[in-house]
Amino acid sequence: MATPITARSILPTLPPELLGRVFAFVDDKDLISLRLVCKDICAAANRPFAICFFANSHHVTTEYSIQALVKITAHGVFSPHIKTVTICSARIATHVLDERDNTENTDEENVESHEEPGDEADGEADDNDDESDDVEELLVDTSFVRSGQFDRLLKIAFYNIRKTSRYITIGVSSDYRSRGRYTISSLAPKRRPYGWRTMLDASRIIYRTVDTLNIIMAAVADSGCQMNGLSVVCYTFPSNDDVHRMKKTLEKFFLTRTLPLDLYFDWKRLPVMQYACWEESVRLIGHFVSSRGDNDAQFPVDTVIRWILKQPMWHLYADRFKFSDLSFSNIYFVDSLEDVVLTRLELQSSPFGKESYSDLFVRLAAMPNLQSCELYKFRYQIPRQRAGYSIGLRSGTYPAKRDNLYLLFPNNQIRLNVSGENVSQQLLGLAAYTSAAERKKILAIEADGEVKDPWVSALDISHEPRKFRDNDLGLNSGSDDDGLCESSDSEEYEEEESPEDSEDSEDSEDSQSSEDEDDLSEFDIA
Amino acid sequence: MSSTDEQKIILVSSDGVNIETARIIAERSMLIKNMIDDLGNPGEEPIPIMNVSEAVLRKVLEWCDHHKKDAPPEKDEDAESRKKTTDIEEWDQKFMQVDQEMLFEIILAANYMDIKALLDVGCKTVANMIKGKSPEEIRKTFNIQNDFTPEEEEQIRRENEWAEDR
Repeated sequence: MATPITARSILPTLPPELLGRVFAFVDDKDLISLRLVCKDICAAANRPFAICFFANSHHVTTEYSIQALVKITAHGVFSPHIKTVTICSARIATHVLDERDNTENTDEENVESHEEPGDEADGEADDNDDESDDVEELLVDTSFVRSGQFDRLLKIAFYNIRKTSRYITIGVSSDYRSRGRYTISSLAPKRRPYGWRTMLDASRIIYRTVDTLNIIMAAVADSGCQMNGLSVVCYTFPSNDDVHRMKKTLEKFFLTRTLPLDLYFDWKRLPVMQYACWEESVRLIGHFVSSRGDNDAQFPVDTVIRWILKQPMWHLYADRFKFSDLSFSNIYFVDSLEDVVLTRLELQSSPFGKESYSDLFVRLAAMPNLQSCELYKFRYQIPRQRAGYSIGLRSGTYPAKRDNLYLLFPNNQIRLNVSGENVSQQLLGLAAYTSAAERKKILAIEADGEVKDPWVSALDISHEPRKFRDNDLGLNSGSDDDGLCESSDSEEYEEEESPEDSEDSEDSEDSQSSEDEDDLSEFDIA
Repeated sequence: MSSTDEQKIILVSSDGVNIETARIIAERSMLIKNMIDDLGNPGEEPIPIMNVSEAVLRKVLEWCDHHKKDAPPEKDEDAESRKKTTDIEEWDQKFMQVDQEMLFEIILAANYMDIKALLDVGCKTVANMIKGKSPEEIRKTFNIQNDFTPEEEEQIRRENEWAEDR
C-alpha cells in the first residue's frame, strides 16, 4: 500500500487507544520492532507487547531463563500483565535436541524424535548431547535447582507478581513442543519457553516435574499469591516413584484447596482433563487407558473430580461433564464418576475391548438420570422398525426412575427415543443383544483367523429378550440396504491395542481433527 | 422504512460547511444515529460534526455511501484481542490510498463519529504499513525521529530479548 510520506510525523500523535487498535492488527514480531521506533510508539506498544509475550510466561529450569523471569516480573510495565507462569522442567532436554535437529536441519542419525520416551528417557539422551556447533550457551549450572537458587529466584518472581496482582496461574510441563489440547487459553503456553536453548546441554540432568511443581507451589504460597489455575503436562515419569510422588503432591494440594481454579492435566496414560471453573465444565478428552485397568494411571482424575464435587456452592451440573474422544473403558476407571449424576453423555470414540458396547449399555442402564447419550461411532446396524426407529415398550414395572432417553447414533442417522418406565430394562436388552453379537463376532474371528465383515445386521429389542440364533447374530451379509451402519470395508484386528500410542503423540496436536474421522476403534480381540 | 431511506439530513463540518446527505448514509455513524434518535425530527436542524473538516467529512460520507447496505456492526467486540487478519476488501484499499495526513484524519474521524468498520479499515491500513518492517523502516515510513538515547535504546533491546525465541 503506497501512501505518500508526509512532512509531519503523525503516527506518534494518535491517541494511545487508537495506536492500541492499530497494534492489535500487527504481527507479534512487529511489536518488538515498534518498541524501538520512538518513545511515544514504544509507550503505546508496551501493553500489547506485554500481553502478547508475557501474559503466559513460559520458562525452563535454568538460571538464564529464571533470571529473565525475575526481571520481567520486576518490570513495572510488564509485570501486571503476567497471568500465567509455566515452567518446563529439564525433562525436555532430549526433546530440545530433537527440536534443534528438526528446525536447523542438522543431520544426526541417532536422533529419534518420536521415540517412546517413557522407558528410556535417561538413556537416549546420552547419545544426543554431543553437538554444540551453532549454539553458544551450552553450559548449564547443574546445581541450579539443588543449590536452592531456582527456589530462591522463583520466590522473588512471585513476590514481584504479588505486588501488582493477587492471582496467578501456574503450570509445569515436561515437553514444550506439545501444545496440548487446551481449550482454556489462559492455561496454554503460547510459545517455546524462554531460554530453551540453555537446556541443550542439560540432557543428563533430570529435574523431576513433580519437584518442579512442588517448588513452584511453595514459591507461590510463600509470595502470598493466590493460584487461580494449574496445568500439569507430563508425558513421562522416570520411575514409578515419580508417579506416586506426583499423585501425593496433587492429592495434598486438592485436600486443602478450597477456592475454584482452572485445571488442565495431560499425560499420556490419562485422558486429558480440563476444568474451566468459570463455566463449571469438565472435559475429558481422549487417550486409551491401559486395558489392564491400572487404576493408578487414572490419577489425578479421581482426585480432581472428587474435589470438584465437594464444592457445593458451585452447583456443578452433571451435564457439564463432557466426554469427547474418550474410550468408554475410561469411564469405568473413573470411580468417582459414580457419584456424578450424568444427564448427558457424548462418546466420540468407539470402545475397545471385547464387550464394550454391551458394557456400555449396562452402564447406561445404571445411570438413572441420563437423558441423552450420543454415540459417534456405533458399529452395529439397527433395522428400520415401523416408522422411525423407536423402540417399543414392553409391559411390566421397572425400578428405573427415568422415563425418557435419547440415543443418538453416528451422524444423527438414528435417533432412538427410548421412553416409558422401563428404559433401564430396554438398555439391558440392548446390552444382552450386543453382548451376544460381540461374542459371536469373537468366535468368528477365532474360527477364521480373520474377519470378513464383523458388523452385525440386526438389532431388535422390541420383544422379550430372545435367544439369539446364529443367523440373527451372524456376520452381516452386506446385503442389508438400510445403510445404517458405518460402512467399513475391512478392519484389522490386533492382538492388543497399545494402551498409549506414543508414536503419534508428537503430532497429535495437528492431527487431532483427522483422528476423529480416523478409525481408532478397531476392536481388540485378545 | 422507505421514508427513512430517502430522508435527507444536513451535517455541518468543523469549518462550517453544510453537507446534505441521506439519513441512511449518515447513520453508519453511531454518533449521528444517536443524535438523530435523541433529537427527533431529522432533517429539520443541521447536525454539527465538531471535529471533522469538510474534506474529511466528505471522504467519510463517501465510504458510508458505499457501505450503506452493509450489515450493522456487531456489538462489544473486544478491542484488546489480537486480530490475525488484516485483509481489506478491494474497494476499501483503493479508498484508503490517500496521503498519510488524510489517512490519519479519517481514522480520527471514524473514531469520533463512531464508525467501527471504517476505523478498522483505517487501523488495518496503518498496520499493513508497519508489518514486517524494521524499526528504522517504520521510522522512515512514518517520518518519525528516533528520540531514544543510546542507553534507552539498549535497555529496550535487552527487554525485547525476553520476547525472542532463544
